[in-house]
Amino acid sequence: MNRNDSCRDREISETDRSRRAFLASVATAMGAVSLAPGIFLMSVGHEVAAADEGVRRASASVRWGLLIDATRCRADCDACVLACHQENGLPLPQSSADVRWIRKVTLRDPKSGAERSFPAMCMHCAHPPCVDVCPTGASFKRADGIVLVNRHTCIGCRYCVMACPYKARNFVHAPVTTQKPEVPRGMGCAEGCTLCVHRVDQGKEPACVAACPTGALLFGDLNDPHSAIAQRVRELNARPLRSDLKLDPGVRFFGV
Amino acid sequence: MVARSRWHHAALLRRWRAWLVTLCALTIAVVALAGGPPQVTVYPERGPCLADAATMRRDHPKMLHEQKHRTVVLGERGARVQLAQCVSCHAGAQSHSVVASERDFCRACHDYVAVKLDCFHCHQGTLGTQSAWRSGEGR
Amino acid sequence: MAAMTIALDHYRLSARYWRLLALLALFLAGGALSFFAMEHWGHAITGMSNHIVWGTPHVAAIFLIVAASGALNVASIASVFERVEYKPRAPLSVWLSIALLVSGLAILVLDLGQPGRLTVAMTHFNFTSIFAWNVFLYTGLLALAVFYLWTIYSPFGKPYAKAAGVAVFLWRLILTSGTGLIFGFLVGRDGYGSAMLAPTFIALSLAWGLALFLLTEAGLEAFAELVPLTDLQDRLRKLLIVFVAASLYFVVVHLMTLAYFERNSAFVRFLLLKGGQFTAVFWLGYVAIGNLLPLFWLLNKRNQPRRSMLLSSLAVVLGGIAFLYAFIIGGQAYPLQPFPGYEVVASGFDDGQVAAYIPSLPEIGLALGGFALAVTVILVGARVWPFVPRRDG
Ligand code: HEC
Ligand code: HEC
Ligand code: HEC
Repeated sequence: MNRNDSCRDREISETDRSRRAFLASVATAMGAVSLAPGIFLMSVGHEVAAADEGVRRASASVRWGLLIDATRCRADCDACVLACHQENGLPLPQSSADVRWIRKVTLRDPKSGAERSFPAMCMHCAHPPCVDVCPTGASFKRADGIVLVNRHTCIGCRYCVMACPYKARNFVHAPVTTQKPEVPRGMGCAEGCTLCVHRVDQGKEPACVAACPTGALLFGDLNDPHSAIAQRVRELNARPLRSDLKLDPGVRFFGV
Repeated sequence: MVARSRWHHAALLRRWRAWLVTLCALTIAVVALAGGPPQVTVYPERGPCLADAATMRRDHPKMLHEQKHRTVVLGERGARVQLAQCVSCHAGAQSHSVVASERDFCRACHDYVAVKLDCFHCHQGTLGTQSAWRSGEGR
Repeated sequence: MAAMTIALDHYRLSARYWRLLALLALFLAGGALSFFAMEHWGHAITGMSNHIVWGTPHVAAIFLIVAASGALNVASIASVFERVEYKPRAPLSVWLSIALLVSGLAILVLDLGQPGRLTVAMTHFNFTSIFAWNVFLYTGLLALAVFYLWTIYSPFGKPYAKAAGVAVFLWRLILTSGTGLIFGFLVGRDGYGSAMLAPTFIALSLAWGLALFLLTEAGLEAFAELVPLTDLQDRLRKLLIVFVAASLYFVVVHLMTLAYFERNSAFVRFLLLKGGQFTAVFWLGYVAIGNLLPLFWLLNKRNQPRRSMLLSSLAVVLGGIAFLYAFIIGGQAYPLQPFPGYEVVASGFDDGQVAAYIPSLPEIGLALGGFALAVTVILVGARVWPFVPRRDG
């Protein structure tokens, strides 16, 4: 765990630190102006890059996260999975060589016999093992906490797939022809849930969240104590999967 | 034996220089006759490019390489340089693509200059799939 | 011991040489074909999947890389431990190491999803990744090994020979630790995630490398129609016994470490009892062929010593490959546990199920191509440079 901590500290440069502190206070103030759940301003998530006017960048003041409420999720529903595949141009999986960014699982507690159903995807860890192991740095964590693969520098070694304890990284085993213009992807690279980064950067929610008919999925800024997600996480005491690994995932669960 | 091999090398060297001169002359002649790179079709009615044609010809690799880092790693959005934008202006009228046919914009020139273009096995090089990003819809 | 001088030589060209090269070319072509097929259709045509992303090519590559470190045993004994009687064999030992390392790396690179981006791998480094370190450890060992060969052969190099030998020795210990830690640092997978893997891999490398060295030397002798050298036979035999026993000990301790922890003990049960093909490969391939058989052969004094040593070496090599198959592929086939404490009723991604894997033709082709490359490098090298120790007079 010390390894992770020191690695994280190195990531944050001095300027980053002060900018972060400043932005955090701004974001808190703006958050306090009150935002309805699920709707948030782009300016919260994106800071203006000084050099290039009008161009915005991911900001270290936010930490995007998901809250998955398994008590509201229905076992027979896979709307989130379908929405993900449609949004990101992923063909529906036929074999274990096909790519899944999100999957539905149904579990039984052997003690009580109770069953729970919920979706699982990339947990967007604060200390992601996939980032630690990537030899070229292609697997990286964006300033706002979204864990991505830079497919321009990914060499396809699959070490990140080996390292992810959540089975959330996949390798593209076959040529791709169904790309959406806003979601480029192709054979020979590792990939996983991007938290619909192309939507989030526009101020929209991830496709799975938008598609969920029961409101079991909640997206927002975990850093902002007034955001709907931060409040619900506190209220429900929502916890990550495999908290023993101390990876500090951005995806939290209730009822698992 | 020694003398002979030295002679042999000198001859080779001389011939090697001659080949080079011939090759250069031929290249210049071909380029002059053909009048430079192939004529790529552009569609000015779709709007002006990011810069004038000469600048674009020279700088587009640098522009794209820089932007991919800024967009993917820094999360920069709304940038001027976006592959999808290049495609929307430069896609052929018939093929709706910049790479599908031999005469399509990026491919025509890249085939000619023999520079491998391996962006479009990931990036969509053909118009058609309506982009949610560009239409700005969402919930 | 009877006085005997040993000279180094290249062997003479013969029809045999060309015939063997032609055969190797066939395997190399098979490897190339496999590579291009995977490059064109993707890894979908292999037995690999999103459950098992490292398949047979990784087994072959890691075997070769680990053995490359062990192949240096003889050179290290000669230089670091200053046993002059081993000196005539040092060049072959170093060259074998280079051949194995180059071939292992070739397989790794050709199995990448983006082999064309090798330049990216050489220019972008993330130093929290043991893989990035390995790039330096592997290329560094190659450079050191070439330097060491130079110190052996060049009159100008003599003063540096000892230093080079020590540097190679230390470097390869670090390198093999680095290879073991590729798995040792994987906390999410129950079969790995233990620092024990660093010393375990070192012990395995000692055994595999010595076995391959003995086979290579005997092969070259047979090839060059030389009378076999038997001066160190007894000592090398004992050394092989020690190395095989030591590696088995470390593997057992590694599994016991895992078994001690509640979650990982399920993996040990899987590997040893319920893992299907992996259990079979582990017991039959690794334990029986890779350890019991050679120990039995080597310890039994009534056996013809040279034959039993070579047969044992072959068994150790096969056992090593079997071990890595069970360890690498079995370790991935055993399900990840993202939801500990629950039973999986249904999953869109086979959670909680042992993954299926069958090695495919392209994978085997690539792996065999890698082995063929190693043999080719040894053969061509020993033809160009005097690596073959022979009895002189
Ligand atoms: C293996 C797949 C892959 C390949 C090959 C690839 N890209 Fe990308 N590219 C991506 C992904 C994924 C993104 C991120 C898209 C996002 O987040 O919106 C991206 C984003 C970009 C962007 C910024 C966004 C945009 O739409 O313009 C640029 C510029 C870019 N790539 C240029 C290139 C260039 C130039 C090449 C060829 C040299 C290339 N890419 C090859 C996957 C790829
Ligand atoms: C709004 C439409 C538009 C967009 C967007 C656009 N272009 Fe252009 N481009 C043009 C036009 C029109 C010309 C012809 C300009 C001229 O001849 O002066 C041109 C010319 C060029 C040329 C020179 C062709 C030649 O040899 O004459 C290159 C190269 C080029 N564009 C590349 C790109 C790239 C790369 C992108 C994306 C980053 C891009 N363009 C985006 C409209 C566009
Ligand atoms: C007028 C000819 C021409 C056209 C049209 C053209 N290119 Fe290029 N492109 C080149 C040349 C020449 C190079 C190599 C320049 C260099 O290496 O300095 C190049 C290089 C590139 C590179 C860098 C390649 C690498 O491996 O680093 C990318 C990316 C690229 N072009 C993308 C495009 C895209 C996308 C289009 C279509 C929108 C396009 N080009 C259209 C001539 C052209």
